[in-house]
Amino acid sequence: MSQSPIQPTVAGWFTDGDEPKLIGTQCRGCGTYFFPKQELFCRNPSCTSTDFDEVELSRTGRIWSYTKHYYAPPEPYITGDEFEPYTIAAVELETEKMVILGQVANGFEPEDLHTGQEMEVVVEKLYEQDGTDYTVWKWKPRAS
Amino acid sequence: MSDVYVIGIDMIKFGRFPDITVPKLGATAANMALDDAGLTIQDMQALYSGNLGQAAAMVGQRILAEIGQTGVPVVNCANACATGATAFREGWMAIKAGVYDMVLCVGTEQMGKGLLGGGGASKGIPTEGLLGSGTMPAVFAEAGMEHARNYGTSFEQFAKVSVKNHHHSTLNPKAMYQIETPLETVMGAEMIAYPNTKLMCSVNVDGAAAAVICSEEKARELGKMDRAVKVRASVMTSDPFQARNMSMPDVNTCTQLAAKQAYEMAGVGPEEIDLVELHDCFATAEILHYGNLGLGKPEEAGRMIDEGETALGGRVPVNVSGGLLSKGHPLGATGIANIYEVSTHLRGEAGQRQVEGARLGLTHVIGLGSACAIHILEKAQ
Repeated sequence: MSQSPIQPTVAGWFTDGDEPKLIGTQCRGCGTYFFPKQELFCRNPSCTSTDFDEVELSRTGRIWSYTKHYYAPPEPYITGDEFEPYTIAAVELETEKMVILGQVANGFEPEDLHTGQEMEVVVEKLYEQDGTDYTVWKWKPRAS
Repeated sequence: MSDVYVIGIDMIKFGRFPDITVPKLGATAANMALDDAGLTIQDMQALYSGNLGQAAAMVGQRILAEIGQTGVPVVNCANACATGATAFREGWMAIKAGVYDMVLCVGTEQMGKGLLGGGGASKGIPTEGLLGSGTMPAVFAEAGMEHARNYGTSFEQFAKVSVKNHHHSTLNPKAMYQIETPLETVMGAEMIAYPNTKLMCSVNVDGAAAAVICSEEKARELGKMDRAVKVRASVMTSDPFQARNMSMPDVNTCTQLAAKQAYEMAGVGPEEIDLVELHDCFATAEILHYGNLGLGKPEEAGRMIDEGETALGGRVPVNVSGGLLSKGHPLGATGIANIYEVSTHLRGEAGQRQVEGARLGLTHVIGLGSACAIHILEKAQ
């Protein structure tokens, strides 16, 4: 199978296109949302369900906390040849109220962010390997 | 059920020992603890060994190969930064259960220099791994930022934790560092993840610590009660289910849960604790744990550090050893090293850094945000 020049870093974790969304699961028993996907047993100790629906999660949320990562994390993290410090944010999803971590979109600094700020999911390149761009979801401040 | 007593405990000076094997590091600490108790390996009925880096390599049995293969059962434990405390607690439980009346607990780690990996598994796709947003520096930076937002805690107040703990370790010959780090040095150090600079992150070192623990009857029979330390509480928790935290650990809840259980088990309140060795893996973490352990209200944490309440000589000295920030953090050894520090104060043998009149002390570790262990220790009556 020939490889296209753009690939998600992790297949099946987010959708493509102009309005990308994270893909999670929802428990049919207690309604809890999961990301990454929970597929075998529910993590909620008061729920015995083993049935989950794959769902697209809301693509906006509000910043719970954020920081800037100034050092190159060791393996298994992939940082590329030239490490550039990056901004990260923990964002509480609009509907699911679950906190999802992610890098902040290229070009945004902590100075551009504040808690409670509305963010949206975008997909950007994380690294390049053998001529293929591998992508990941990131958080981007939503244009008001 | 018998009460459990520490009758021998010691640690090697933390440092970098690339030429010494892990079992030799552990064996050295084990022999020091046995010497402290005035006993030998022949007296031990079981060995509980904590080590993370060589979790699959039978470190406990290899320690016995250095100090005496008596044929006793060996249990090897791995539980991230709670590894040493887990080994200690397994020994405690065996004595509580009446299976043994005297055992040896050892915690050992060889870290080397550099930065720790994150929460990634060794195979498969590491959760959060590839994008680098779930690293420990990031998680504790963000948790600190939340504290700052809720209670107005400042970068300077977080930095003062590091100033304090580095100062403490100048009084501790077994700490990795004996150097003062003034506030401007801490705040001006290389930024790792705001608001934690490099001097506000724990130091990766090699180390080992060991404890001989026994039943009350045994301690009395051996005439060891004069220097014995009573284990008033031994508690462990894991990260409880919260629907909002599916992809990141909440670094506060498992400590809050463990603290509540520990105070109940010991039958004491936080206001009765004379000194605390808590898990200052980052300067922000220490500030969070003042509230989590009930040493003060969460909103008071910044004031507590400003007014020296948690410094040696203050209301409730925290990390008088220098803490993970300056004594160093050899993962598998840290839990028992904390118990060594508190025990040394309860015995009145801490020299220059002695917390005067210490009667009750608390130790706390937390492994990857999901394994918390708390021990409350008391000077034997």
